Amino acid sequence: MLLRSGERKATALSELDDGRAKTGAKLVEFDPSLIRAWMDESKQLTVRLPDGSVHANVRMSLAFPISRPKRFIYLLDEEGKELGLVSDPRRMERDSRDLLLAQADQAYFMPRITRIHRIEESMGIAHWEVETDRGWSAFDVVSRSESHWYVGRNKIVVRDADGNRYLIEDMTALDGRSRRMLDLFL
Amino acid sequence: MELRVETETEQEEQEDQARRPELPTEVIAWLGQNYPDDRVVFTQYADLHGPGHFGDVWIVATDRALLSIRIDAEAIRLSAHVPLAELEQLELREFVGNGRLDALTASGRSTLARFTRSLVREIEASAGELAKLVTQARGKLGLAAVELTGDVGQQTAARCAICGRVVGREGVCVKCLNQRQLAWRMLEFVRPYFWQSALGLLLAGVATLLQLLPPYITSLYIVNRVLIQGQFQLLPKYILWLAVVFVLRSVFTYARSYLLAWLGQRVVADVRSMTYRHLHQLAVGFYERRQTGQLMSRMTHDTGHIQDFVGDYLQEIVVQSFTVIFILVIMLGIQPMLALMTLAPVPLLVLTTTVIRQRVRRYYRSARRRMGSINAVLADAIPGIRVVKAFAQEEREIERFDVRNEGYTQVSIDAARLRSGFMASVALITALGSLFIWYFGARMMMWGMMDVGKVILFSSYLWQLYGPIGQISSMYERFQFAITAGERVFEVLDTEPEVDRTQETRSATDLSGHVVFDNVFFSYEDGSPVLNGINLDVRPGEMIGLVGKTGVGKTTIINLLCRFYDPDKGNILVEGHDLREYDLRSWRSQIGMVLQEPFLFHGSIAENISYGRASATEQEIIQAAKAANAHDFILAFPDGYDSQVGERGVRLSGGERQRISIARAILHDPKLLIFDEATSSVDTETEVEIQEAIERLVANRTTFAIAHRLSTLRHANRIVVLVDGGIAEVGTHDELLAAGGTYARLVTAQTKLGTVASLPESHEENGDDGAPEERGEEGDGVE
Repeated sequence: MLLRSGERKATALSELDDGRAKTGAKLVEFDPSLIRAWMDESKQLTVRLPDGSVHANVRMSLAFPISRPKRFIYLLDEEGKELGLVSDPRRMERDSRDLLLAQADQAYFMPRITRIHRIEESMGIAHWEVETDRGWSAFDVVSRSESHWYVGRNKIVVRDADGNRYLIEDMTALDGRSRRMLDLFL
Repeated sequence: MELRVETETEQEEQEDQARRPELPTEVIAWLGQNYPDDRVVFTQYADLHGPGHFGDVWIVATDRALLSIRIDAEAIRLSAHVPLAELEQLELREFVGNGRLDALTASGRSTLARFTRSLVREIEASAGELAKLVTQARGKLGLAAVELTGDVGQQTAARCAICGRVVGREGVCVKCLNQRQLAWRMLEFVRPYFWQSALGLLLAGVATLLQLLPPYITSLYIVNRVLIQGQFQLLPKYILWLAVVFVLRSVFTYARSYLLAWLGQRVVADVRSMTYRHLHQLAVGFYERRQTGQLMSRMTHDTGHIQDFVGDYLQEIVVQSFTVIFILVIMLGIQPMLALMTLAPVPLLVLTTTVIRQRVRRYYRSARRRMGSINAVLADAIPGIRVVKAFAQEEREIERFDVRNEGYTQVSIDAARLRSGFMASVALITALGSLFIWYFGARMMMWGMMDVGKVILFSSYLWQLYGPIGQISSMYERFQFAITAGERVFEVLDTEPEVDRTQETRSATDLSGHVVFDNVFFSYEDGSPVLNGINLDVRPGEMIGLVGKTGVGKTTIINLLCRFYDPDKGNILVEGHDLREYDLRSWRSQIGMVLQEPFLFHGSIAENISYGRASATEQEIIQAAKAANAHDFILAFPDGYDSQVGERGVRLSGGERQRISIARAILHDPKLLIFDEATSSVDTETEVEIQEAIERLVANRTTFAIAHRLSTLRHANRIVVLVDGGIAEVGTHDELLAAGGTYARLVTAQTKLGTVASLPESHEENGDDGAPEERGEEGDGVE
């Protein structure tokens, strides 16, 4: 069965249940240029915030992972409590930024499909073979309407049977053959 | 038995005069004999005899008396005679299936007429007229007025405004449609594609000609010249001709069908888009009168019929007519006598086609309805499967299904039988034509009037001729189908949009939120009065709680505020100006709404929050969500604010949906806020979070809140208690409680219910938070 998106991030969920992780009504936004991030000895992300406080084992949550994939990164402490928002990591100091973006990429992994080799549908399962920005991949999609959705006019998110996400950034930019195969799937 | 119009009174009057059945000559004669001095001033037909038999009755008012005249099989009888001087009152009474009009005098009651329900509307109208006439006549004699009492409340069938026939659910009278005008209107849709259509027709003509060429070449050239005259050296040339014709024919046929299919799709896409755009401009009232399914079917099904019209129907009629005309010209040119004989069975063909086709269609229609009833069983049983299982009624449901399944199958088999018979008859009639051709053709050959090739040509054309003739004869019916569908679409397109917007002169910007209801009266179209003089001065930023029983007018006040309707009398003043003076769109953009069942659109959470303001930045969206206590659960979804809501997206609980809708309202930043039972479908714990969100939202905004759960209104500046469309009490929660009026009684009732209903839960101290209608969030109850 495909992973329903009723799924919640395991970390944040436990905190929400006891009502502790409530963050109040204020939006805490950091000045990106004043944030430093590094890996500590145990290879865990450590962050120094603009107020000088240092937090080890920092986790993150992307607020707009599909529409704004490399921006609006929420930093959470090791208990999952919200520290604050980094709206635009591009303004961060370079090493810290690279580290943060690498971690963000792990927090939300979604390859971009650049070319479709094959979509074969049989018995309600569509088998895809695609080229992505992370290399060649093959996956099965339960061809129900829930397995893909539009973001805006031309952007499509595809979710395979296991809950992996793939992004078609702009369906009109695909080559003709990929486009035809996609059209018949949609 | 004419004319029963019941929607518009003006129409009614017009039609009454135009279409009312005439008093029969024998009744006029009878009147002349028996009441020679009376002058007839009024007549009305009724359709039941006194004891309750169908039969003609005439109510006649002369300048001296009211008469009820019964027409029996053999005679005309007087069944009532009431002198005007004695008449005191007319009484109209309605029963199930029939009604009665009585005349009351000091000495008693005489029944003027009984009538079926089909006539109630008409007789109600004419009884009113009668009362007026009689009052005038008595006035001259110095007598008191005659009153009409009683009325008919129940609905009768919708009838065509022109001919009085009962019309179907769609409200379209097929007989009275101006079909030619409608066809022209539908062709209007094709106008933007004029050149494409012209090209399509041209292609159709050429393709038809090419269709007719091969038999011509084979019979007259290959058979006659090569086979009979033995000129074998010509064969390659003729074969080449044939090959060229075949290729061209395929090319043209392809081009024609592609072009016309393209045209049909384009046109209907325009129609759909135009209709949908228009739907959005229509007033809320339009939607309240119609079912969603009906409107959806207009968008998809009926526009599909228009496509049939411009795509298939036009194409076919052109192609078929071309075919028939070309073949007839060729046949008549070759041998007129034989051509006429070939046509001899055509009347039989047309007759068979029309008659049998109609009957087949009736079967198919029945089959479709039966399939519908199978669907109904499924739609019942599958969602209700828990009930079925709990009561162990599986066998009964299966039985119910099987009965319908069997019925459907029977009709479908009958339809197939009829259809097979139809095909066989058509084939037989066509074969009859070929008998004529071969018999008379062969005779003519012997007399030297024909040759072999021509006979073969006739015989091949015969088959090409009969098909189109059969199709053309069934076309009228299909044409009507498309026309009625067109009418339904036009009804939407012709409906005037929205409320009257002629007085709008100012834009609603920079409002402080000062709203005054100045003696506002309102009733909906069906005449039920809702608001009877509402006076209320709402200060900027004030929160008003609206309390009262269902149907007392709370929602109507909201509807008027949103200008879904305008008041019948009185004004709503915003910043001292009549609401009607503000530009409708700019005014509505100042209103924020949080409803009992928050409506979220398909799309991401971010899109839903920024629905009222698409230009909002991500920060603003997050800020709004935080203020609505929605941020934490949103960020916990894997896709964050990009999570999809709706069927294919994340499952949101009632409280979560509510908070998203509050975030939407916060981001929209309206001057005027409307809460309609915003917390009724949430559990108590979430309610606290929502209350908190609501308090942030309400701050500095003029707010109208409807609530059954009175606890929601604790923070209201004033609570307005409505009774029978008027304001009964106004004051704060504490004031009203102390006053001990309606509000206090409601609070006491809810407290009692609350303590009973919510024993296991710990409620807030003030305990007025009874929630008898508290529901589970998934709402899986049986409707």
